[in-house]
Amino acid sequence: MTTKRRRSVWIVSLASLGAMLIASMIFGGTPLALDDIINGLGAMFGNANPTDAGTMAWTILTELRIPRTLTAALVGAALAVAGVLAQGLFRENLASPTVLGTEAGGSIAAALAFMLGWAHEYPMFLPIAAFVGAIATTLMALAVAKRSQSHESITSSTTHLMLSGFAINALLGAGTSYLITMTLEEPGRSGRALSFLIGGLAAKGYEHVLISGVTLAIGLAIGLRVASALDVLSLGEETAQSLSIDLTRLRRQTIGVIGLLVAGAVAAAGALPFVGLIVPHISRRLIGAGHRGLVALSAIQGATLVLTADLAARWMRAPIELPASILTSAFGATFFLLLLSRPAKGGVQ
Amino acid sequence: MTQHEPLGLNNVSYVVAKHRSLDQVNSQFARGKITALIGPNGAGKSTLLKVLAGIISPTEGHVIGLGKTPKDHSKICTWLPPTTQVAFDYSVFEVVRMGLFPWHQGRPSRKDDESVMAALTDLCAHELADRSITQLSSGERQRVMLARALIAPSSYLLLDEPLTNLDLQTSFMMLNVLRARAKSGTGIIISLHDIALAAELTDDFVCLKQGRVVSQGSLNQALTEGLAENVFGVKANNAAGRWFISGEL
Repeated sequence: MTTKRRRSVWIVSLASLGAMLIASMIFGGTPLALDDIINGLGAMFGNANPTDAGTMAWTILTELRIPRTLTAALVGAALAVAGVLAQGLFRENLASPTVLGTEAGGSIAAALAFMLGWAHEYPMFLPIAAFVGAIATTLMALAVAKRSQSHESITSSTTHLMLSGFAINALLGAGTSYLITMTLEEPGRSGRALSFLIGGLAAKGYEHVLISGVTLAIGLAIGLRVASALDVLSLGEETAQSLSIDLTRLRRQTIGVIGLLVAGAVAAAGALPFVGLIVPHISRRLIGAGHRGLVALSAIQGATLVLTADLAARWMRAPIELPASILTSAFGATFFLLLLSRPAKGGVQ
Repeated sequence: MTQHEPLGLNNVSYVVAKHRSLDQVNSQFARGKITALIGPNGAGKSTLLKVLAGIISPTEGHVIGLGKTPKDHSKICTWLPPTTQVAFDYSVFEVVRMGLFPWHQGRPSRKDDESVMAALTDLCAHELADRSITQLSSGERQRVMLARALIAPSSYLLLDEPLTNLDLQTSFMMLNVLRARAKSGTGIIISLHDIALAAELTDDFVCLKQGRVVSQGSLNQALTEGLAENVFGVKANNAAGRWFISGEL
């Protein structure tokens, strides 16, 4: 790939992200005028007389739009980076970060919080519960990874881990359905539970920015650190081992960081399907397979995708807001089907 | 290239699922020589190479000359499997550069990039540098994988059936490259099915059958017509230093 094309990809991606960040802050149920925002900003610092429109615009911007926009961008970036790492670890370009069951772990913990009523009584308890559930499931996946090293004669340990993830997902999914069923007698509670589990970006505050921002920062730092080892892993586990890769350490670090990123995203916005699957795939087509560039570009494109989905979800049936997850699912599933219908290129055949 | 104890196996056995893939193997592998591992399918050649590469640990016995840490050992030995499936669409250049990973640890220098082009040029594969690895023919891919192994400045090259999928011309070019590399002091241990080719190429033999060493040493000591018949079940004739193999259907 030429340096010129690579540079164009980065410029277009950053420009798209910038445009979507601005659009997400300005457009919505109440479009914000630039003059009103400037007035509100001036009033904030005592340099202008506040108008009603200016005060309202400033309040909407700072209390609703900025946390929502930042949460959308951070969650999108986190899921996309987790997807890159999952695909690298499993050497499979159709793997998803949800394969370990982390997202299902966050969902069941959130459902439990709703059933017990704690999510209603203590709003901060919900993201914390989802985060703890997701991390606990990741630890379960790590335990499976450790045990699976003694099963290498049956399947490779990574394949074993992937298969275990399917089982964990199914088990936790069944548990979540059970817990939601238990809350059906109280429509308000079950409605809120379902609304959270479907995934969306309505009513996000700075606590959601904090949880997704911190996990993304840690995830990006570790993701960039393991990126070149994941490149070598693409040659196969034994070859990677012979090229000085400590497979056990790489597996633990990567699973841990995938878990952290997904946990942060689920805690902040519930489940946003397909982001972690399709964004790395698109990025790989644009700048090639090297994981270092892929981690960075996917973070930008994941943020852009979720911002776009959220904006579309706000606009499509306004004044009703659709959950962004519907849009990510529709776009992601269509893209996925198109991929499957094309001849295989790359990936372990 | 660093100086260290020559690689060897001391009473090494490798047992998996009650099957002894290697059984009490004792061998020494000199640097500067090409040693062929020969034997029928399932004889333990690939297992022996993996043990030497530090990919698997012996169930009994020990490897002589093993690096202090796995990272050290990866600089002593470079291992090439018979086939490699690359998971993603890397360029040939990127794949070959991965061969230097034990040295650059993910931070390749300009000198490393120059080494990649030199390794590809040695195997007449420089025109493939920008191509995607997944779009190559199996022969081209094998050439690239050989370049990935040959780029490493390690003391030993452990090559498992490296000539698979190569046409005759490329095979001979490859053999010349290996001879030159051995002359520069690298120990090359290569598993081969073709006895005649092994006799042409190599200095020493280790002949395996059912995990046991049945013969080893220099060409004249180790390879006899009787041994070929016993191990491979084929007729082998040595005429004026050249081996001719024939079998019955």
